[in-house]
Amino acid sequence: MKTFYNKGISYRGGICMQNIIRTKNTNLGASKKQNITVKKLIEQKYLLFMSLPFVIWAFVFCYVPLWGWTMAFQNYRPATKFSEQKWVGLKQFKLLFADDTFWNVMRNTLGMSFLALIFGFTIPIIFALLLNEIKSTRYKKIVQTISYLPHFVSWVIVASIVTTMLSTDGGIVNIVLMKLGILHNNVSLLTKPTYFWGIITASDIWKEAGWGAIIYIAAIAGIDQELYEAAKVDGANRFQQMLHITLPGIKPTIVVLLVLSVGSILNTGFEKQMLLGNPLVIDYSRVLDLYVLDYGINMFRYSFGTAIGMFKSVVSLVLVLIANNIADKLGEGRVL
Amino acid sequence: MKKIRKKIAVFDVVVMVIMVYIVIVTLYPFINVVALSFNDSNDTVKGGIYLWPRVFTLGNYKEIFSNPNLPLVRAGFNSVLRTVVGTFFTVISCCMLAYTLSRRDYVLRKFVSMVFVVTMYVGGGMIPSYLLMKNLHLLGSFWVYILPGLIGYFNVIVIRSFMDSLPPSLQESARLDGANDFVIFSKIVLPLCIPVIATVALWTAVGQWNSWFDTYLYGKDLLSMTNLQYELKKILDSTQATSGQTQTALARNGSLIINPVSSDSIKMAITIIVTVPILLVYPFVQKYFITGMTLGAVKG
Amino acid sequence: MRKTKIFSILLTVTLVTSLMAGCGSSKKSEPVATTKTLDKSPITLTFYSADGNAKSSNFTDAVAKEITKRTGVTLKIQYPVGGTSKVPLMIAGGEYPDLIYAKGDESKIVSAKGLISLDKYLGKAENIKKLYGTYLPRLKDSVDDPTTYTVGSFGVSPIGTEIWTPGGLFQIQHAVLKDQGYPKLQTLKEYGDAIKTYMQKYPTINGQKTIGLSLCADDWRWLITVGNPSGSAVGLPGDGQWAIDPDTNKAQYKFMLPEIKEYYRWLNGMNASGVLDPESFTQKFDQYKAKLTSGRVLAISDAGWDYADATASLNKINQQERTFATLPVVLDAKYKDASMKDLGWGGGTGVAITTSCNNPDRAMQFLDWMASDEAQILTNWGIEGVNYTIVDGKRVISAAERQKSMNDPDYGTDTGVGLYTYPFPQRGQGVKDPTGQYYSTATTQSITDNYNSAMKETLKAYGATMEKDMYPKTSEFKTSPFGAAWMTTIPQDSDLTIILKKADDESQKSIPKAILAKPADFDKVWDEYIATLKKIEIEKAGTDFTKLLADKSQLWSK
Repeated sequence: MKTFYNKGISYRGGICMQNIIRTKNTNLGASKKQNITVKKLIEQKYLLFMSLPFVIWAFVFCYVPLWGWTMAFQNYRPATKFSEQKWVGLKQFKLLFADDTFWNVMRNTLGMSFLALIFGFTIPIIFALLLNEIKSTRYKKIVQTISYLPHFVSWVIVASIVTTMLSTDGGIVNIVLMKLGILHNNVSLLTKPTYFWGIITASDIWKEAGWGAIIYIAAIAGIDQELYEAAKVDGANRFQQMLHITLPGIKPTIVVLLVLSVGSILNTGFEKQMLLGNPLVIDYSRVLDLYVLDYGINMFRYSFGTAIGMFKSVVSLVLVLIANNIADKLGEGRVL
Repeated sequence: MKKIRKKIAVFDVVVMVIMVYIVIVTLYPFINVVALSFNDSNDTVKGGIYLWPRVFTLGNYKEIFSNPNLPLVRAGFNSVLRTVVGTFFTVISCCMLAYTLSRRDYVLRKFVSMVFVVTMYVGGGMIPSYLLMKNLHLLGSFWVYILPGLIGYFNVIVIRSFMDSLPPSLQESARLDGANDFVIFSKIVLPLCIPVIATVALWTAVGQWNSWFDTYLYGKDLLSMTNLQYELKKILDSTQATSGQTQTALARNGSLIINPVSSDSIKMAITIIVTVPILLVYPFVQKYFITGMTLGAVKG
Repeated sequence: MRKTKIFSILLTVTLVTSLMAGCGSSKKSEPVATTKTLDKSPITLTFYSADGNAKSSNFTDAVAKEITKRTGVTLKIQYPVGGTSKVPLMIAGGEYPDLIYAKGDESKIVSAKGLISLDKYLGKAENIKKLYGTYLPRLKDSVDDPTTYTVGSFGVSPIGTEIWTPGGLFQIQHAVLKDQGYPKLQTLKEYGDAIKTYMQKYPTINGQKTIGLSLCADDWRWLITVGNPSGSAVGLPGDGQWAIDPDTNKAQYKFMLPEIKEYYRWLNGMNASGVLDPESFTQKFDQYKAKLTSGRVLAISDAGWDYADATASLNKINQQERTFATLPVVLDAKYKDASMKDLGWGGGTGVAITTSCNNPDRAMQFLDWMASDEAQILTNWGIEGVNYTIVDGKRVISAAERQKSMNDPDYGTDTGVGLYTYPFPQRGQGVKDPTGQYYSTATTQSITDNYNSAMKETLKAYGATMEKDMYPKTSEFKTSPFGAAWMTTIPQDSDLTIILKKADDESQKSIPKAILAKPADFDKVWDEYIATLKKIEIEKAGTDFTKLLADKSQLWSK
């Protein structure tokens, strides 16, 4: 028991961490305070060949189009030439922050994202862990394949299914809840604004959990099987193995995905909110990307839409860098 | 492989129950879609179809495949081509980049990662991207499907973090044997990353298979550029009613309103057509991350 | 050497072209405009059409081939996919297709100077002049820029042409009318009572719970089932979200009117008494259709083309009495249902020739030809001998062909009939050609023939032959000097667009709230709604819009 209960350092993580600490000061480990000398560059020429072409790619395909950000400071008209555009400084941003709808939209976006982080993030992990416990490989494969099927069903169809299920006119949810005595009358859940976030989160989990679990399943597959043998020898039961080998084994993956998810907090998309929403719950269903669509693109206000895009990018970057730092301070290493 | 005694633990039962629940809940929407795709569209309007078609018909599929606008072979071929080629280049590129970033001694590591972090959350927009493709002469070229999406930094990070967890002793010993960085990368590190590479390949392949927006924007509507999803999306769009106001005006003015086949049935059939190839290919990918690996053999 | 080579090529080309031009002949068995010296050399014109056609055939159908035969033109048509317009990209890249129907994006292309002026062609464009007649000035762009860039879409009917389809917005099942002896249902109260009575008498239909009045507020359908009926009930014509005083031509956001409030108070009452479907504001369109097809929805407030699917399905299963009759229901007797008002041809957007077109003369020639009588007959009726025959000098569509056109969803794609009318210049319903026959295939006879048994029974009981007979006549209304208000183009940068969107959003949110509230709270909710509207400057929007309408009238009267 003691071998792997050792102060919570897991086998997998333990070996890595120890190795990293040990090798930090050897050649391969040294990372800080390296001078970029020509000698070093030639020494690492293979690494250069393997990375610099892509840096060039990044500049061409990602940085060059950023000139489009200037649109956010103009009153962009697709018709007029670049040099003839009217510059308006921060007007678009001022318009944005003065709009009450914008703050409402931010609240909705963040609210749903937090729920997604708490539930939508953890459930695929739990699912992957449990899936790993299925002994028969055949059943494991079958369950895993079925679990990701909803990912391929478009939101249009899923929204339709959800609406039918929640309807007061023979919808399953109402029938079950009434039979269980929780409800006494038919309740149209979709008309209740405060339930909307819950409905969205639940639908999203239903649709995406299976697909999202794939990365964790792959991470679990990378865990050295010998660790389990050793643990079994030490007398650990399956649940303990899961808790002390599997879970720590995928901890690096979890941390990476968590940090990156923090960066995507403003990117909830708009499809599911648009499809599951209705005029009665609009105050809770309108999200940032929907707002951009309605008040930016569909109104041909490109400058406004670009300003929001800029805002999203900056906020996302700041958030992800903060999350990265926190992860680093907590000893998980830098993610980015 | 007879087990001596099959002890069924409580834990196993719990897991089984949960799994059965998950299977039912996730399988249902898909079966529903299959059932609706085989159901006569006029009957579908009545609603109430859940697990199997009420009025079986192949009509929805026939409707799609016999559509004179569907260049099935060409579109299918292009879809496969861009999926295979795109996935290949993306995976190789992401792996190479990931390796350089996993090497803590790489002098340009910080610079490179900074460059790429920004790309994840920052974009110029539809018009600047379009103009870029135009200026690079990528419009109407097959490479517009490969190049712009070459590196997804998210993928790189995932691969890199996996590489980080490999014991450095492996690379050290290879270096002592005289191998250069590229050899270490290709012969030692890469084979150990198979599960995560399989995952990234899956993500990329599905992305390529499903994409149609880039075909729409950059494809110049050329036959050589079209792909399956795009063609199907066009068919789907054509079955939706034109906007309400246009309909009113058209009705007023005597135009023959062509009642489309219920777009719902077509939607379902299209979903199935697009998903089935993925399902067929998937088992071959699955084996790379379902069964565990033993690192022990590689150690030392 | 080189010079002679070039010269011989030029010579050959000229010879060949003139040979082909001379070879084209058109023998018709019908009176048709003379083809003059049409250049019929093969040419392909690219065409982007913002309204995705329901069943495009990629220009391979029979009518398309005939068009190519008679004009040499093959159209390569592209539609937007996934709801995204390609026009901004075209403008940014400076490359356009030869022809374009850009709808809402048209003004952008105009400011980008991407369209060529058609003014110089209009003098010689005989067919276009004839088709638009007095409406020709309505093709102009704006007061600031009175150039004509497009040949407008939607059928053109000279003032005074009879309107045959009222397009009313209040429907009730034939079964309900029959059960109550075909009462006169003029006011909303009578309408609501009729529904209620039937509901109480028959709590279930076909084994399922009876629903009194169901609405479908899914996405833009909100405008059709919740927004527009309110205007109809108080005598407003089809101007969209606007109420325009017919005498002063002043425009107002219609929800500000007190009488509109009373309509929604009525709906609120319907909800309180359980007649209104509680799912009206959450159900999706396919659920709504399913309900209609089950035959248990007694009343709806919708547009005919929206529930046509359900009608067809009910007809198929022989439940005609469960389909709907449309009635001119109003708030109270002092209002007149204006569904039959002739708004005049709306102008608005149409097909334009872009600056990227290499052969604008040819393009214009093609557009003019599309306005010709022979083209109108071809695109509406199809090919003689195939889709229709000439009997005693009159065009006749066989019963079998009519059946096919109504029931076969692929009819358009296969034959091409009706595919090329919109968005090209088009003669409206009820307009006659020089031989006295209608351009469009719809006749009063065809309309009545298409009524199902229940509709025929109902009409007979009310002493009418067509639905329109039950509505106040067209002649009772003034025509509009600016067409249908909702078709007015709103300039790009105006505050009006934003205010309108915010107003519509607010309406979409507050009106259902008001309808579903307790009757005692209705006034409070409604007043809050109006206060919010005023806060977002809806009154300024009204003034701005009035000016736009005035500008339009001025432009058209030149």
